[in-house]
Amino acid sequence: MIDVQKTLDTRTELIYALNEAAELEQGFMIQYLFAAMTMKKRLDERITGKQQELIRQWESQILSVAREEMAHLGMVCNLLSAIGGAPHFERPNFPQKAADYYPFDFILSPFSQETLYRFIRFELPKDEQLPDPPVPSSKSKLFELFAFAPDPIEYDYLSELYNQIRHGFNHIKEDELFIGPRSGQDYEYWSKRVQILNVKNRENANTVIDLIIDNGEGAPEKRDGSHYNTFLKMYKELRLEMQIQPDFDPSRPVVLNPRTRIHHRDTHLDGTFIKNESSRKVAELFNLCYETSLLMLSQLYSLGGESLSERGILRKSSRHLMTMAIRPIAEILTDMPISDKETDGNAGPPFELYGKLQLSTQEPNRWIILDELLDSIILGTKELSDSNQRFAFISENISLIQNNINETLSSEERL
Amino acid sequence: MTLLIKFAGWFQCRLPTAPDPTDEPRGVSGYAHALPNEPDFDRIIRLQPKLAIQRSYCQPIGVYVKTIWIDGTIKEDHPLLGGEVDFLENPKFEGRNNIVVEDDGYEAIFPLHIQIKKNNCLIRRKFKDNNIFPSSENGYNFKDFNQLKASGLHINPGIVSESTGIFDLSNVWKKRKEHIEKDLQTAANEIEMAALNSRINFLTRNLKSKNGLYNRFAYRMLYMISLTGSIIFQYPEKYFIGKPSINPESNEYEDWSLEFWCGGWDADSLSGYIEGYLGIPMSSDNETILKLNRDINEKIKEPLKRRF
Repeated sequence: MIDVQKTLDTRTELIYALNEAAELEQGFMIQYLFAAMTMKKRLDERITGKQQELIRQWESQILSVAREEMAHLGMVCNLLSAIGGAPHFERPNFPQKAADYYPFDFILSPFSQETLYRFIRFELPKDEQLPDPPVPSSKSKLFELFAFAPDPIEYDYLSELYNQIRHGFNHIKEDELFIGPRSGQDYEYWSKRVQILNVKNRENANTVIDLIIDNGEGAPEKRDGSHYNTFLKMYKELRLEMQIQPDFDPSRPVVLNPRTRIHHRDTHLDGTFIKNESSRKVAELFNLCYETSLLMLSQLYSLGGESLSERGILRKSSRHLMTMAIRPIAEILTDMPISDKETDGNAGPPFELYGKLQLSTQEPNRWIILDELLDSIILGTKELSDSNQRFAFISENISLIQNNINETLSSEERL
Repeated sequence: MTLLIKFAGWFQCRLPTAPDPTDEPRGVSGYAHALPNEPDFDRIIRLQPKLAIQRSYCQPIGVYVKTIWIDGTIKEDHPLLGGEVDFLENPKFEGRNNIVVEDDGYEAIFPLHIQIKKNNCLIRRKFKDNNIFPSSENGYNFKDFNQLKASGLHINPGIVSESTGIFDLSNVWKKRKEHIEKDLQTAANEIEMAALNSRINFLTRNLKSKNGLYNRFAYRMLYMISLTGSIIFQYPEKYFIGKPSINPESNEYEDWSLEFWCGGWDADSLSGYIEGYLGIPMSSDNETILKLNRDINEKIKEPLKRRF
């Protein structure tokens, strides 16, 4: 873990700090996505019409924040690339206890007051106070797992870590620091609202850091629109709704930290093993899609000789994979049983990594490996089509994505 | 001889919008949402009110024949006038979040199978027989699919206003919102209230903004398609004018031209306007007409009691 009291004076220290920032952004994003995917959609899930609309708005807001975290991750990779570092998409599996790995508990938990409270902590500005903590409910397993604050936070991770990173950028000699190729960065809109900024010099680096902090916590005089304020507002709305209807539960009965493996080397803490075979198969497929998207991003952010159009297809395809496979499969999982006992709850997207991400150093091999992964996803989704029609659609779309990539590679060969 | 049919009207398509995935059932992050009292989205393009989900105070769904020309002469009393126009086989706008098209506004309508019917008149034609969506089955052949694509988004406020009769959608929305707010006072149950509130919030939010979704009303997507698939062409004998032309070389029916635009999108009703023309090359079959005339003449000569 980075000791943020120390100033960052060397390129290596700056790279380590940026690696940590990348893991945080990805970790936050995944936890936000997980919570969003657990939210109820249908009136037959014991919600009223008004609650259905409220939940939809919350889900939309969380997904919007998650997309911005994706952009933050992209910009951190640009910061790394600018100073000669490699893009960083590694992260440990869930769960992680605060102080073991990061200053926060990293848990995959369904949408609830407790979960929102953790999200508010992630994004908390230094000069703000936490709201009143939620009253632990009998259903909440979060309180059983980890203790909640009143332990003092040693540092405000987003702004303090990024300000240390800023210090490194501002104090290491500029002409020695920025050695990365300009073409080794992503620069486009990840969606209509989210643009990733390029980093060529100290000024750009400061702009990126300002943007990330501003997105996260806002400015003291203007918190509106920040992630912190979004979660705070949501927390208050949820608490109000629960005062009106104490048994209101906006999320499906998804377990904490669902897993397809009982043990992972990078966490000594238990998750919830997905005992139901069908659910576990879908969860493994989910993990495969997730790993494939990370490899695509790794390939996009590491300049290995890919042409502009090849980088373009990687960017497009990773986005398509996230929208058309990862999100639908995550939603399907939160409606599937964790075991054969209905009272045990539902499964969820595990976001597991079974090993270190390995991007081949040879460009042609990267494409071969990517093609093999897409073949596996297509086959996996086809096999599941009988159980849920959405898989047939996903399979069709992944095939089309694969075809688009192959078409691009063929055009490059012809040139 | 050419039979030219003009059609127009409102269609509905209940579909999720970006950044939601194509098969998102109820809409989350995009602007389109299924209301609490509505079923999941099905993305089907509906030109007729059957199975459409009509929201209150919105344009009624229905596309009908407006004008008929035969060889350039308008036929005021043609039996097909007012006929229902429909797309069969549950077509959808296929863009798949831009996996199969280059950008918004190029979505193909797939499959394409037009039908026009009124009383005993029935005209149908498919774009192509055996038209398969690009997949590994057909070697990802996009040649046919690309012919069903639109040509991008065009901003044509004048044409859209004149055709729809709506010159300012924001005004229409203001009035609609007033009606819905009144209905809220007498909503029958909690679900209906939630649905009405959702619409009121949507309209309020958009009316407040200069960039509100009412601006999309002026956009059109243009389609120009040659229909070459199997046909049904049924006309009662008394209206007989000929039959669809057959190309003597190929012995296949001549291509029919189908040109239309979809636009005038109303993001509250999830409906848009379609206007277009179906051109059918016809051959006047002189032998058949002569035989028909002979038959009619014979019937006129028969005593009344035997005819009835």
